[in-house]
Amino acid sequence: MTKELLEIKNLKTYFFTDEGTVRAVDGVDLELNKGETLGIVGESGSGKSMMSLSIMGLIPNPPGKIVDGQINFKDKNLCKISKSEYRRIRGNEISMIFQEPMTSLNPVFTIGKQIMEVYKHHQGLSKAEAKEKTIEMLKLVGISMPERRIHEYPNQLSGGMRQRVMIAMALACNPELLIADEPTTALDVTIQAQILKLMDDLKHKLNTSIILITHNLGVVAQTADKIIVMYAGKVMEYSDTKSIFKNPKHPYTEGLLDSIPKIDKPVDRLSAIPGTVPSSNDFPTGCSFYPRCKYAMEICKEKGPDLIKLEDDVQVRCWKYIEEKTFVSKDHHSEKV
Amino acid sequence: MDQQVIKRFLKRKVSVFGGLIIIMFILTAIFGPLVAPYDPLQQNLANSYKGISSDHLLGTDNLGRDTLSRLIYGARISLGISLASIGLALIIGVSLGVTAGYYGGRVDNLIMRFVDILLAFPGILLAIAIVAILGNGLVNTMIAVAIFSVPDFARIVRSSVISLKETEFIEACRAAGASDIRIITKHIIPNSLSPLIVQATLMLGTAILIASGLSFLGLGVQPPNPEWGAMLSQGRELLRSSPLVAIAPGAAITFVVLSFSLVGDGLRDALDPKLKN
Amino acid sequence: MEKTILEVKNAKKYFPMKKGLLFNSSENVKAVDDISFTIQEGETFGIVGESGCGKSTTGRMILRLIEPTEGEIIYKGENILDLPKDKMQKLRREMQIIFQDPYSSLDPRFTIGKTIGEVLDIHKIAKGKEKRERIIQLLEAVGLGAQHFNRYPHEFSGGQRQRIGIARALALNPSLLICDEPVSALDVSVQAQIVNLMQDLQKEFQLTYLFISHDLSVVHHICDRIAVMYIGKIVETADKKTLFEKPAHPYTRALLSAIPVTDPEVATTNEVLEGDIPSPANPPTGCRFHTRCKFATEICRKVEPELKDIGDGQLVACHLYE
Repeated sequence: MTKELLEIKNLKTYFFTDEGTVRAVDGVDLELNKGETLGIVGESGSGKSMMSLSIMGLIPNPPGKIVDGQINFKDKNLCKISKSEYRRIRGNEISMIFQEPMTSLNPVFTIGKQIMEVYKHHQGLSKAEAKEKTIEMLKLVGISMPERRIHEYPNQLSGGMRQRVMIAMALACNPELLIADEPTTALDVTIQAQILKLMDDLKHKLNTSIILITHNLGVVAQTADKIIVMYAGKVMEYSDTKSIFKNPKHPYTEGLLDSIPKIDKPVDRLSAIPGTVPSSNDFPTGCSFYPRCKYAMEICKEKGPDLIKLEDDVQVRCWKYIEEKTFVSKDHHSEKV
Repeated sequence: MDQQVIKRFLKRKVSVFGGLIIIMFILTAIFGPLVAPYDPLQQNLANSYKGISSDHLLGTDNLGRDTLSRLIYGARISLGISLASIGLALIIGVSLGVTAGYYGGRVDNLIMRFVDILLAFPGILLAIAIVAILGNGLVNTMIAVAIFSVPDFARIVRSSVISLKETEFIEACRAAGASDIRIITKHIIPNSLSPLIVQATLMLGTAILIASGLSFLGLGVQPPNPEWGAMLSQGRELLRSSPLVAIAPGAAITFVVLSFSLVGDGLRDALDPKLKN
Repeated sequence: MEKTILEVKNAKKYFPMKKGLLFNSSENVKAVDDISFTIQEGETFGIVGESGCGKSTTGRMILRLIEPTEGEIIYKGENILDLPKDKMQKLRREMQIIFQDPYSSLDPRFTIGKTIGEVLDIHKIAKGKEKRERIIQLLEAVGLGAQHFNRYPHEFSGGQRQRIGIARALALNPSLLICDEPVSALDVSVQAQIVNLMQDLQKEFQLTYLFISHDLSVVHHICDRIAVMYIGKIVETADKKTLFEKPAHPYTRALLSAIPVTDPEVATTNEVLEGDIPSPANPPTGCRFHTRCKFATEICRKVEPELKDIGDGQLVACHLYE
């Protein structure tokens, strides 16, 4: 039986700005088991990055604030713990890697020193032990000649190398949860393939749970066990990876998948989702996707639907399914599953 | 967008206060002759060394001239010098900066080394040297202050030109066949305006300070013209008998310079909210 | 009969590298190193490659936004590098460019009408009412309208800005459009709109596209013929079908297998390419790909392979095909 590592209930992270309240994350629930990879897919303004910062306790306050909800990590509600406790968890039990590794590495220290620091600080190792561990870790993330590399500065490394160093640093304390926010977006395709493969290998080796945040459906297709599709701060669909790609339920997921050109299934014309991603301080009322939805009904404009469970592992937030269900039950037809 | 700038600026109360003081001084300078109770140059030995009275709100000096009137006329000269010299410095500095940044290479090297030389001198020393060469007087003071301010503007403009030059909208203009003049005047200068406005505001205060300094040393505006620095210099000798003659222009300089500084800071925050945090 | 609209012949662009305080070293970054290709009228020619391969430099050289160090750029039979200023100015109407970043490609201080109008002013195409009508016509062609005329760029989303950028490029009625990663910076759900728009416009205005991208799926969708670049060199050119069905160069194959597939059940063939992309400032000797190529032999390390026709118009620069 797998055990839940992370459980988020009704998380709401709002930003209070001059232009009004931005509901960056608006009532998100999710569960993550040990050793699982969860993909969070969304476009700009979907709240996917704010999700990760909320878990890390790194929401800039002011203007941001977690206004409601729980983040239960191993029986602890992270929303309730003290700053010093958070600092101990961050980097130790939960680590994070970012899109642009250059901004998260300190340019004036060698990479060896930066990783060793993690060991010394979090695990209280001596200098020699830390160095040994660092070299081991760099080897693990596929950096050749780590004994030499530890003396190099971040600017001497290529983008892919830096991302490997970031991963090494994030994994240094053997965290139980790794949050990767667009880890490959800034990289070239051949390097992206390397990093994704590395993350997958490491997951099997270290049994780390991973939250992989991305805008690229292709990136999560091969790596994630479950996927959350976010739009305008809300979870639109929550499903296991296979079902979501084979049989997307939410019109948005369907639209996203259809709009990507596929080499094996060429079409003359892509089926695009009309309209634009709503800006974060101006989400539509009702279902936030209805202005762009081809199935939009009267009710979608007025009221936002709840996330409902369709199958065991499939949840969707769409009136289409709610309507169907009520219709079915009203007419006493045999219950569809 | 500009409305938001104003909104952000109004939120900083100190800067608004500074702005009000400056506006007050400017109005005084413009309407000086209508407001001033006396002719600032009119001597009246019978009335010398007077303290505060209803006839002379700030007293009189050793020659019986009304200090308040001199202060009001002095505002015209001091603010005038500052505005004129910063205006001149802007024209020269922006042209130098744009040329250096836009064309790069050898031109850039030449201009910027010249600017570096100017920067190598301490401000007041440079101004003194220029006045020493050109001779003293109102216009030469302006020129000295202007030259002193050129390097700052040139550097600011150059750095924003260099970053703007690479942006895609400038490339788009070049691809459409726009001339350099059009690109510079229509796109580059308007887009580097915000840091320039901030710097110019801050420099207006400094300019007053430098000009007063020169006059105080006897190198700038010559007595009996009521420039604040010159007044201060003259008041120094009267500190015991009528201290107001020195205190009044000193306070005026302090207030105006401080106000320009506050407004400049406020503008910086308002124009570039990213700089905060 | 197909007509050649553009021919790039042995084009090179070396950027001098600044090293040291006093002396400029004679070393160069060879951003584009001797490439040649032709584009036929009405087709979409793709250039694919990763960062530092010189694809964007190539696009800008064609427009003379960057002057080539060497080589010829022949547009409709004329080498544009020899053209005097006034003739070049006229030629600019024929070729335009669409940029990657919709945020930096529009002047934030210009309204949309002014942005597009400026192009018309430069070439003195229209004035007053006529100019306004033409601008609105262009806005409508890209799916916007007269109501957007007086708005500023910051009021638009990324996709809409890209539409504005396209409208500006179309204002001069060009024949050739250089599209430099036009959809890479856009949200996924908006990319398809812009791709569709570009295809519609191509038909409507008989445009020829040079489509520069790192995204093979988009290139596959939109292009007729494709050149693959790697550190300043073209390693393979072929029509779309050939390139995707039987890629010849090992690098092309690696690129193809690195595309993330949106199907979890497809077993990842992932021939993951080892190593990093070498810096164009210091490219490997011989074949530039040999440091990452699993087929590399002695000759690859020493001799630079030439582009050779291996049939069906497929050109490959690789010693495996000799």
